[in-house]
Amino acid sequence: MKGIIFTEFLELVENEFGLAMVQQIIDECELDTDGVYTSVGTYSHKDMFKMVGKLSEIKGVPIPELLTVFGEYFFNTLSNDYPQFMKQANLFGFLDSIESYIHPEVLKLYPDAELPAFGSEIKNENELFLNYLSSRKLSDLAIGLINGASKYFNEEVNVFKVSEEDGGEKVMLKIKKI
Amino acid sequence: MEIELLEKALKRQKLARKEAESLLERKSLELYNANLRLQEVITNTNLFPEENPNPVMRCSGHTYDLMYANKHGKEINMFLNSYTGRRVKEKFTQELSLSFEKGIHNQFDMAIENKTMRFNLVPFPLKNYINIYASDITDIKATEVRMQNITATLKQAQQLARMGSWELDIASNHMIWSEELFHVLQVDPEKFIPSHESYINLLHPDDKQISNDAVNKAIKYKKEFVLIHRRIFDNREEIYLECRGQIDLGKDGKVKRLYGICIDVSSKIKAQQAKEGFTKELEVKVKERTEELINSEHKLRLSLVKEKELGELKTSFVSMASHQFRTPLAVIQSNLGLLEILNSIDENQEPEKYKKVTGRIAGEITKMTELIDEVLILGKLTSGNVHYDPQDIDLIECCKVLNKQFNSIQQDGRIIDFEIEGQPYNIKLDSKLLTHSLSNLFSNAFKYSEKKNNPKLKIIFRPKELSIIVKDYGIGISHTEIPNLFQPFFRAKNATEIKGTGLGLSIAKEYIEINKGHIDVKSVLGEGSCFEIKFNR
Repeated sequence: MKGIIFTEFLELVENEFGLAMVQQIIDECELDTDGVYTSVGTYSHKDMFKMVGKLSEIKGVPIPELLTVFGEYFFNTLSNDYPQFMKQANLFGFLDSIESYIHPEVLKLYPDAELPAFGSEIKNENELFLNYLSSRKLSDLAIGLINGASKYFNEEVNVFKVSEEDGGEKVMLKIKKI
Repeated sequence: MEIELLEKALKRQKLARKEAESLLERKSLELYNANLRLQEVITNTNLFPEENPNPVMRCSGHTYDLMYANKHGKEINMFLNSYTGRRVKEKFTQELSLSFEKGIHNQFDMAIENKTMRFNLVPFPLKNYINIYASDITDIKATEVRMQNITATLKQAQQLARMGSWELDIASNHMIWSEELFHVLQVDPEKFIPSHESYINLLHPDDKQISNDAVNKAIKYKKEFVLIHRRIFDNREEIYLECRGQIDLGKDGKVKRLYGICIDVSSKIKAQQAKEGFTKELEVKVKERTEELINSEHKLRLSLVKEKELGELKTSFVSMASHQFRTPLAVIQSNLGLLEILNSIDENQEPEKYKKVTGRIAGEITKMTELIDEVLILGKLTSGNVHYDPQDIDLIECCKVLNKQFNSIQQDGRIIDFEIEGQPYNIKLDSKLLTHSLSNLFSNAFKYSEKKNNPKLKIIFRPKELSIIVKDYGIGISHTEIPNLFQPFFRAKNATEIKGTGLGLSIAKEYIEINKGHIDVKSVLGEGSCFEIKFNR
């Protein structure tokens, strides 16, 4: 998993709950890296799950909710750092370009990146289906990212999980404009 | 507490920065290496393109193992490492080692499976490898073999035909001869430099101009040419050459090249000449034979005419002879009867009566003797048994003697008037034959001009010939009878009453002709005749 997810997560924790919470999570999670992450590095996704699990445990907030919040925050960072991917005119166009344009470009920079698949299907101008597929089972993070994008394009939407298979490895999301 | 947290966070940040820096270094190195690899790949892609139909390979300069190759190069490598290719590989490795050690380009041909491959080796000693560029020359080799066969066949054909080919580049005046042309012209291919001028110099002096003209005309009028000329050797021997030239036009429409053949046609020409010679000889022979045939025919015709004449002569002789002989015999018989009567009626006969009778008998006997003499002469003439003995004679003297004899026996007192014209000279003639001829003419001159003027004899001496003219003023001869005058037993109609055998003139004419002379007659009936004999000096 790319380092930027770790650094951004810890930054979010620091911003929301303070440095003490960051230190607590690092201290209690027995991470491989001792909490040292660089955005260009690659680290085990297990560390991420440990940290998210720990935050949920401390704050009593469910993991999916945490992930969705983080997703929304993370999109903000990504859209600032990678404006070249934000050239689409609207939300659906952007979501449609993830699989066809953004991920191939990411793979050029990070050939060892393990990216989820996002098969998109535009039903009509107000409805889009997105098939999430990843062994990381992070569809909630994806929902957060979609929410972030919705705000970026200033298009309000509702995101529903239409179906979920294999313990969250295959999830069909329905994005509907409000 | 707060500071402790900050310190820990700072420490994490530092470590993260170091990690990021080391990552960056690693990535930079990776990038550099990737760039190197990329460059190599680009170079190799250029050097060993898969689309190249020719095999391209690179082998190590030490182990001679394959480093890079395009698809076809890999196929060759596979073959070399196969069981069947191991022998070939030995030679292949030898060639690689030779090229690499000496640092020189090397080229060799080698059979790879069913193909003939040509390998060009380019060693790079500093880079420690050898580039190998191969090409399939199976077709070229096959074409080469075919070309060699065709060339050999052409050479054989040229040898057989005693023919050589040539070509002349007009702009450079460069001339190329086939090997056989040197043989045909019998010049040393090692020493002789072929050119139009050197070719012309080999020719017969009389043929140089036409040969030069032929080439110039071919260039000027863009026309091919054919001519026959002679190659002459130092020993004056020569061969005939048939030279044929064709033109090749350049893009500017001018003649850029002449090419053609030269054939030794000596045997053909000689055979032709021999044939012509033989034909001419044959023509001459045929002409000769034809002439001979015509002559023979002519002779035959003459013989036939003579035979006919002889037949007529015989017939006329028999009738004439029986008549001529019977007449004197009848006279003799009647006079003998008269003698018997005279004897029976009167024992004492008068001598005059007897004398008259015996005189008549004697006369007729003389006449018969003359006749028999002339018949004998005619017989000799016909059989060609006349003796001819020419001597230098004094014609004037001869005539004088003859004149004297004739003048003395003339009872009417006439004489021959003799005249000489020109400067006399002796002439070579048979005097007996001449005397006999002249006697006949003198006798006739008197006989056919009784009671007329004296006959005339005139000898005219000219520088190259002489004429003997015997002229009388007697009865003359009808012009219709003149053509038959010299025929044996011919008697003119106005002469039947005058005694004669009809043989005198024909004998005279034959004798004159034996003496290589010629007799002619001019006569007017009732005015006289003029005989002219001519002899060349």
